[in-house]
Amino acid sequence: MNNSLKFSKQWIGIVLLSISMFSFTQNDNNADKLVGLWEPSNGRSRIKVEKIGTKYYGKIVWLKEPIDPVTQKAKLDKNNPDTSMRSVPLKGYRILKDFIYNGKNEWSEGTIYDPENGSTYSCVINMKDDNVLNIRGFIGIKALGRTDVWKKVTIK
Amino acid sequence: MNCWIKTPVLLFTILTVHFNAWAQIETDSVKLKQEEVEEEDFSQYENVNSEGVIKLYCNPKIFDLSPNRFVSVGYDYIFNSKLTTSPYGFYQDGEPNPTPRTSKFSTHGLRVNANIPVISKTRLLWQLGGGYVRSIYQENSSTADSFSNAHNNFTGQLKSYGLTSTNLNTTLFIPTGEKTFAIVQAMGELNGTYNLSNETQKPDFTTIRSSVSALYGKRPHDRFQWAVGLSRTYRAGELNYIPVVMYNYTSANRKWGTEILFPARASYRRKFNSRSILLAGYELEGTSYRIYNTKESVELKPGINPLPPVEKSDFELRRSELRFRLDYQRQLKGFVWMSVQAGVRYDLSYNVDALDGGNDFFRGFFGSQRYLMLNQVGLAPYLNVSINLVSP
Repeated sequence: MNNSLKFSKQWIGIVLLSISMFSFTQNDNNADKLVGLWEPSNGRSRIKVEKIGTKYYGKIVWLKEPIDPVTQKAKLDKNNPDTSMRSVPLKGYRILKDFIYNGKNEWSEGTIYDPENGSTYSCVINMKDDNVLNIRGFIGIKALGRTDVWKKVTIK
Repeated sequence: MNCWIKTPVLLFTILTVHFNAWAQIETDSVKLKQEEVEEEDFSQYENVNSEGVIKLYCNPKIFDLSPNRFVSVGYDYIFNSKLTTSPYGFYQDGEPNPTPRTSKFSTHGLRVNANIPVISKTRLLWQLGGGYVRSIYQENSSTADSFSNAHNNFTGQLKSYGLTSTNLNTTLFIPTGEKTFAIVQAMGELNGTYNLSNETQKPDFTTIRSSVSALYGKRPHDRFQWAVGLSRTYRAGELNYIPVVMYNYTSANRKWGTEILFPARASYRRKFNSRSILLAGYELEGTSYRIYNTKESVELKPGINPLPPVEKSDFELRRSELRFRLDYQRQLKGFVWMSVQAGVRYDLSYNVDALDGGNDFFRGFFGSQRYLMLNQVGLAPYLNVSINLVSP
């Protein structure tokens, strides 16, 4: 009787593990929808989102105005509070960092960097549909923030 | 027994999974470092097809505007200046003061403001806010004697209770297209010598003053926005309906710009870097305050005065001033900024009305209603320091 109880518990454990593995796989498939090329609503840049390890990162790969009007050279991250980063080119700069998929078409736990003012905000990404993202940068709590809409683009 | 064998196996499995996950994170950071030095052909991203369709809306900001404040806590100090009052009477603005009485005051107080976004989306921005402005009057000298009833009564209220202004406000930014927008602002404020701890000075909520502004404008590009509109405002000390012009501009080299909401304020902005700016300009500050008349009735004589006699009446202080200033704003850390303002306060109005039955009236710029007291406040330097939590 005791042995059969232990046996049942083991099977329940295996079934639960299988279910969680299955749902993880499903989540993982949805999670990768974020990977690709995206354009913020102002159309001034394009961001390539990649999956590195288990997290998602996005870097600037295109700028509408790539040349700094003052220096007449490629734009640098000149507003970065870290002075050692101010000579780094904006093109290639990773502005989305450390996003984790937490289901329901939402990626959170990440940050977004605004090169315009050198500020890094907490950020949550919601996928409205396969080709539209709501990106909300905020300070501390979501209420203290601003949402932008990004559209998906593909290379011709 | 079987269970004892399987438990270590299970533990090993869990540890292995965790180790793999940890190893994965390590691998992530290695990959990130590698990628940072990798060259990439960015030209492939020049020509793209749009997959997503999004409706574009006008952005409420332009480049390099001074940061919008979620929360601001500051202290304001106006150095010693003269307050000259007239006796009670019926005066046209600008008439000579028959028997002036003068006191010298320094004024200081806390200023707190909060503006919290309720909705902050590309298609609508809706903020709710509140404000608290305190002015404590500290008398340093006076030429008034015990017979200077008007002066003593009026300044007695200021000395004992100061001026308090509490407001609730809301702002709507409504993009009407990619480059056009509308702004609606409304505010209700309670101003006066009210004091919660004194029975005779309880706030009178029937004296709440409401202001409304509506603007419509255009944002031709990321460095320029303008708007025109109409405002119902007390900034000139009493109720007025005035046109409003917004003109925010940032130069092509992003070094300077303007921040203008005429006639409320206008500033030239000089940007040192993304973490520090200097604004030079002015702000028109003012409103109408209920001054409780607890000491005496104001006897106004029919025949001499063109208005009917007013029995024991509260007063309404019509305070308005221009503040010419330099405002240095600097990031302290993250989203916390400080602002240090220094300048001079120039008095536009400090006259007092007696309100028949406590009811306010509209004088506007051209009304002929007379004042109960004609007062002037001297030019004075001032200082304002605030700590601000700014928005993204």
